[in-house]
Amino acid sequence: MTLIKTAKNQLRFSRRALLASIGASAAFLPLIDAERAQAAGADGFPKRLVTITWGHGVCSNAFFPSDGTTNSQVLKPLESLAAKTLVVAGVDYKMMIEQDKKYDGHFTYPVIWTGTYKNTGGQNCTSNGPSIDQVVSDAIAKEVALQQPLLVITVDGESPSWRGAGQKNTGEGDTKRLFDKLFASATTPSADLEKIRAKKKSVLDFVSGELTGFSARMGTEDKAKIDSHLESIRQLEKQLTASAMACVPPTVMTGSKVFQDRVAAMLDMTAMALRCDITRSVSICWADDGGYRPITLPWLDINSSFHDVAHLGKDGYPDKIKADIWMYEQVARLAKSLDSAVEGTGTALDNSVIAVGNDMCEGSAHYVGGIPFVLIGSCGGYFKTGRTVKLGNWANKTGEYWNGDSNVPHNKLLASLSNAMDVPTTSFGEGYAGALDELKA
Amino acid sequence: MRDSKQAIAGVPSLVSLVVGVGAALAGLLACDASIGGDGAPGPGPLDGGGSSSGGTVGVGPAANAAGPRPLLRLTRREYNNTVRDLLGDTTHPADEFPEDRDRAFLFRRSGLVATQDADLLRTTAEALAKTAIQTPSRVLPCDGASGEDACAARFIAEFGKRAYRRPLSDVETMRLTAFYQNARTTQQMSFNDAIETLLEGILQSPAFLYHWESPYEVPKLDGAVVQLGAYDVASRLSYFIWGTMPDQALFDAAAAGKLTADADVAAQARRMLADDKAKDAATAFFREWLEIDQIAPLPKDAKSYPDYDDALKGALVSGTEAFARSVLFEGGGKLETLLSADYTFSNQALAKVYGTSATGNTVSKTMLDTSQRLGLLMEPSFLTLTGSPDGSNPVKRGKAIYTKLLCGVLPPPPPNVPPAKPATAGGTTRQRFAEHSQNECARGCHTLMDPLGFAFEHYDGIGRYRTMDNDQPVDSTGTIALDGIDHTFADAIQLTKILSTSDTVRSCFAKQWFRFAVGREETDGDAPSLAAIATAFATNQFDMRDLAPAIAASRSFRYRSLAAGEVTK
Repeated sequence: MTLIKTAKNQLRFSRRALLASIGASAAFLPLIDAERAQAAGADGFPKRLVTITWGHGVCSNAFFPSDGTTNSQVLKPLESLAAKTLVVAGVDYKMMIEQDKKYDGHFTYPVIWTGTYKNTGGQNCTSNGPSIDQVVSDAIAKEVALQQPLLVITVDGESPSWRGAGQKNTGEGDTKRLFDKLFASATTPSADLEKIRAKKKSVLDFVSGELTGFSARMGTEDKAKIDSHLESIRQLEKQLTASAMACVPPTVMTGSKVFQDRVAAMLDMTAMALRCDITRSVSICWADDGGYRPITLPWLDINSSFHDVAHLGKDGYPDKIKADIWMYEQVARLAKSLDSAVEGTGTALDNSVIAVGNDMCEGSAHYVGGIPFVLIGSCGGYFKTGRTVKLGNWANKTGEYWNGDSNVPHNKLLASLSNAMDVPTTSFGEGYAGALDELKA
Repeated sequence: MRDSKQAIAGVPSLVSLVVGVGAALAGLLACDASIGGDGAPGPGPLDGGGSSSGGTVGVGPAANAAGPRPLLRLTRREYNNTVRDLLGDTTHPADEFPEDRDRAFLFRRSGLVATQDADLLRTTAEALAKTAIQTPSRVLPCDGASGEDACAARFIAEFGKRAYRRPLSDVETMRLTAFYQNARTTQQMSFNDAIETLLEGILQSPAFLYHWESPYEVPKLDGAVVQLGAYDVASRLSYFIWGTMPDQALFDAAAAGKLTADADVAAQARRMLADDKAKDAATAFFREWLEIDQIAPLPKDAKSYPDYDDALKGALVSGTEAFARSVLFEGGGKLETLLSADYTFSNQALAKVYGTSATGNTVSKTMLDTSQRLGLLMEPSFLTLTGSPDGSNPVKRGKAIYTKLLCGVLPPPPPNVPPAKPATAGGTTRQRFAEHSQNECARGCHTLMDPLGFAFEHYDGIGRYRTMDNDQPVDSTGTIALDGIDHTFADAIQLTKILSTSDTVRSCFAKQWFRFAVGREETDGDAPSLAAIATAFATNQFDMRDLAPAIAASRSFRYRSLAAGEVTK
């Protein structure tokens, strides 16, 4: 399949053409027309990054494919996308291993996508820099004013997305609010929009002024808290200046409080937001880490929490595998939705990469080496998909032995993701330079 | 936001605990990999403990020292209560905000304002303002028709004072006035729309959202510490004892300079305790201390506990809340009573757990079978929360008592601890967990937690009393070294009697309430305050009602240490 390669500085694809062609009735156009209009754009299609995170590791033998393909019991839901899937076998949260935090797998959410680790006492820790989704969205924001430059969703659990050192990006956890955030402005008449914007801007200006004066005398730590608040207000101001993208809102159930309904609704909205170019960088977390707020999976006939099942080790594997397969069914839902959107001679999935991470290797040992990562989508042809790449000390792993350090820092994977997204770098996070050229096409 | 000083600040309490609980506990390794809920990453950004000038470890603090005051923001509970009292809005809008859970701190503490939070604060402010202006008299002290600019000025001064919980500084008044004029003139809004816009701004302003001093005044130094202003003390009192903004009496006391002397502050605290709002805040203390609000998402095995449904979950929480509130406000207020009362609060759903015949959905006072159960630790809520999905869990129960009642600090669990065997492997829970505790890592740490937990083996995963476990008789005997004495107990009833008069427990309980009050862990600078609080607590045989006035009158409540980088001129 020929893939659309995008320019390094991605221009807003087909926006003007799209708006011109559909005029004011955008909300009522069938999706297929919107897709055609997008495909008509001459600027190429944008690349998109989605990170998906949950915890409690995997049962290695059921997860890692032994034969070089991407076929395994747990990855079965991605079977139809096998040619677009890349299993990255053998990367470590190396800085944690080297700081003797090797069994702190429940404490890696600040680490997974930032490539940084800062211990704050005991097992607690924070990030020491921004996560890949933030870095990518910042780079894109320099070129294009997107309605939602960074979309952070936490169906449940903590957010693994970080604006910077110690500054976590809170995720949206409410389906109705997410819907309004992404799609409501498309139906607001533009004359009203201008008035509303002017008012919103004046309020934000006032709040900015208050915040600035408020922290003038404060100590360094407290001032940083107010600075972080101020930066959030600035982000809201920036979003005011982005024009709303015409988009056909997906049909989703936003009223349900049931976990799996919420996951489905969030993923369907994410897919449409990516297809409509409302956002290009998304961080999704749908399950807890650390067992701090355990999710349960009663619809799978699992009468314990995900965390407790994972803790049982081998005794819990039958239930854990059942749960992990369900998790990958959700990943597949998003991937297939993107793959159904034609973009030139490829699909939206081909121009994207969905990076699935985890907090640990296996759920009872909590080890932070040999973390299961999966990439879906080649990111505009950057990655060579349809295979499992075994890295470092994991080069010869097969059968029963998917454990132990690979000695490959996951920072290299993050650097590769950055490069794939046309944000060139020779290193990502702290401590370990380089990227994973083995993954490239 | 946090730094290594947080870890250092925790050391003194650990040391004193180890000494307090007994040398037998010293140097032990923790081993709670199977306990669950084993914490997780990320500091709560608005954490308290990390403040940089909380006293120097190893050097005794001066008698007039005070702990730090890290910047805190309104929690969900405080936000809801505040807009109720400020705007008459009872819709609990902050229930939509993210939970204020901070993994590094037991009590609720709100985090940094990320973009998503700022967005939510904005949409909430918009909705609140829109509703409030429908009934202008709720927010406007005057009628715009009789002079718009004058009315706007009064609104800014009078509503502003209540919203910011202190008189506005000149700078703030000027900015709000300019903001009003921009709305009314430049944006050509109607008078009411302009006021609505101002409301949106005020409800998003830091003076409303954060617990802090007037930023435009030089801090009042008293030696090496800062004395909080009268309005600030009023606000702090109000949020501690009521969980909401000050009432008019507190505003008046602040204006009259009546919140400076220890006795004045303590007297206000006693007045406030008599108000129903104090019951809500005290209930929040118990709820957060015991973490019983975590029962709602807690799963249990439906085969083992078919009665564990939403009705029971709700009753577990409301029963314990009603019990704690009753002891505190109607039952004499003694800590000993809390831990060893012969009554509880029950309803139809809880009757299945207690094996009684209570009816109705409302919980009401019920006498216990004192041969089976006494006090807080045998409340089904505590036993459910610390139970496994399909049985009891001595380690979880021991850990909860060790950390919540003895203020013990557990080091991180070692790796690769195989879990205790399931019930299908045969043997009682105690036998299976005892075997687990003999694992290489475990002997040390489990001697610390297990005896406390094994005492509760008469209660299953939802707190039902039992004499048999997996077809064998329950063994709930044990020993514990506490307050320098080796105690032997036959069961939880005997253990709870030991705990209910323990100095370690008393000291820990006072410390927990102090942490709840100041939103952070204690530091060396708090030593004089904690000593004064302990003395006050002992005065009336450990009456919990003496704690709030003592905490309010303590140095660390009305003074604070200087923060690194603070501008004091």
